Amino acid sequence: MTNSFRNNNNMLSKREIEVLDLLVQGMSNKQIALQIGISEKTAEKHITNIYHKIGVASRAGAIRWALEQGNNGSRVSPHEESRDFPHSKEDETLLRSRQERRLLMKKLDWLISITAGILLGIIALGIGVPRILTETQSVRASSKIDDILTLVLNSHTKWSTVKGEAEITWYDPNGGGKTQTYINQFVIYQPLSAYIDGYNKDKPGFNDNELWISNGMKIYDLDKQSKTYTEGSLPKFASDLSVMPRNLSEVETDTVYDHPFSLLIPAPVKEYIYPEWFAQGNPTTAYTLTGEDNLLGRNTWIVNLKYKTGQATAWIDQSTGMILKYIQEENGQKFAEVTFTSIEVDAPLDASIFTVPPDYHPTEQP
Amino acid sequence: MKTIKRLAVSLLIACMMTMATILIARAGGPYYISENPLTWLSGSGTPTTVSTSSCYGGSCKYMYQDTVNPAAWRWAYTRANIYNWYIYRPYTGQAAARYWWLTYQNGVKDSWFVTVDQSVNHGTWAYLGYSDYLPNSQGELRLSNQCVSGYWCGGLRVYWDDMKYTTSP
Repeated sequence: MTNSFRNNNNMLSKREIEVLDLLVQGMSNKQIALQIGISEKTAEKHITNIYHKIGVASRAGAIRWALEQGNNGSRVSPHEESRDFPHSKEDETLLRSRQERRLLMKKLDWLISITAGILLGIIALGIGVPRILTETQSVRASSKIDDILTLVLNSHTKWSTVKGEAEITWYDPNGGGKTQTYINQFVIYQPLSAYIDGYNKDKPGFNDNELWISNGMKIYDLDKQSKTYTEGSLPKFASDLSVMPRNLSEVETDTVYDHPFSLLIPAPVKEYIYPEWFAQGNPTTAYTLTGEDNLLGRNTWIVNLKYKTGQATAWIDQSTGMILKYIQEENGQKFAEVTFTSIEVDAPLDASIFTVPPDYHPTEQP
Repeated sequence: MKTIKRLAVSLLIACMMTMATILIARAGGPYYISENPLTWLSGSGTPTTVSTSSCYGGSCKYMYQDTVNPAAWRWAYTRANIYNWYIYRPYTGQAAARYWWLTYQNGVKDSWFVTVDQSVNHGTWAYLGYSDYLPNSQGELRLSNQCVSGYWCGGLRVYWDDMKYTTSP
C-alpha cells in the first residue's frame, strides 16, 4: 500500500499515513490490522495518534480531513475510488473485489512458489540422482571386500555339516627350511560336534598321535598310541554364538573374537572351518581382493591380508565363506600353507564317530 | 533470569548424565593384568622372563613346547565377577598356547580347555570366552606349554603375556 496523502510538515508518520489511507477506504480497525500485518490494538493506537495530530475527535473527522487534503491536490496514490467516499454500496463492492483480488494474488503467489519448488526439485533430482547412483555404485565396488569379510564372519551360518581332508605344511619360523606336513581329516557337525584326526606326513608317528573328539557336551583329547584320553568340559560359552560379532562394524580392531567353539579345535582346522579371525584384528584397508579361482569345483575369491609382521592369502569359498586354501608369511618367510584336498558340505554323517571308542581309558585332569 | 536458570539446570543434568554413563561403563572393565602374578605349578624347567617391546607388558614369560612333561602356570583370581576373558598375543608368538579354565560357584566346579594360536594375529587380544558363574572368586586360569596336535610342534616358545577381563557382560 502506498501513501495517499501528502504529509504536510511531516505531521504524520509513514505508518500513520498508511493507516489513514485504509481508514478512508472504509476499513475497520481489524481489517486495517490484517491488511498491514499489525495487531488490532496497534492499529487503534495509530488511529488515536492520527486524531491527535490532525486535531479531530472521530473517524468521520479524520476521513473528512483526509478528503480535504485530497481535494487540495495532494493526492498521490491511485486510489481514485476513494473520491466517492463516504461509504456506498459501490464502495463495498469495490472493496470486496479488491480483497478477492488480493486473495487471488496470494493464492497465485503460493501456486508460483509451489510450482517453482517442484521444478527446482525435478532439476535437482535430474542432476543429483544419477550422481548418487554413480556414487553408490563406486561405494559398492569399494565395499566388495567388506561383503567378503562379512561372509567370512558369518561363515558358520552357511552350513551345518562339513567333512573333508586338508594338507597343512608348517615351515620352521626360525628358518633352515624345515617343514612339518600334516594331513587332517575332519568332520564337523554344527555347532558342537567334531572329529579331527591328524597324521604327520613327513614323520609318521611323530606328533600325530592325537585325535580330537567333541560329542557336543564333552571334549576328548585321545592319544592313539597309549589309548588314553583326557576329558574336558565343553565351555558353556561355546554354544552361545551371540558373543560373535556379525558385522564388521561390531569388530574391535585390536580384538579377535574367535568362534567360541573354534578355540577348542586344533589349528589350522579352525581357520578354514571357523575362519573368523581372518576378518578381524585388522583395518579393512589391509585387505585386497586379488582375483577369483576355482578349487575343488567351488568358486573362490582370493583375498590378501597384509599385517604388521607378515601377510596371508586366502581362497574364500563364495557360498560358505570357508577358507579352502591359505598361505601365510611371517617376517618375509613362508610360515604355513593349507590346502583342502577334499570337501563335502552338508552331507549326511555317522554320529558314532563323535563318541570315544570303548578301548580308550581316561587320564587325569591337568 | 529464568532462562539462565533453566539453561544452568539443563547443563547440570546433561553433565550428571554424562558422568553417570562414564562411571557405569568404567565399572564393567576392562581390567588389565600383567604376567607378574603368574604362579609356577609344575613341569620341567622354569619359565623364563623376556623383556622385549613386542610383549604388551614388556616382560613376557615363556617356555618351550613339551610333549612329554608339559609345565603348568597358574593365575589364580580372587576377584569376584570375572566375566569375559581376553589374552594378548605377543608379536613374538610362534606356537599355540593351551589354557585350562576353572570356575567355581557355590562349590560347583566347571573347567574347559581353550587353545589360542599365538602365531597369528600378533598384537591383538584374543577373546577367550566368558563365565556363566558370577561371582566366581575361587577359579583359576592355567596355561600349559603342551604341544598341541595340528599346530607347529617344533619346540617353539609358548608365551604368557598380559590378559584382561570384564566384570559384566
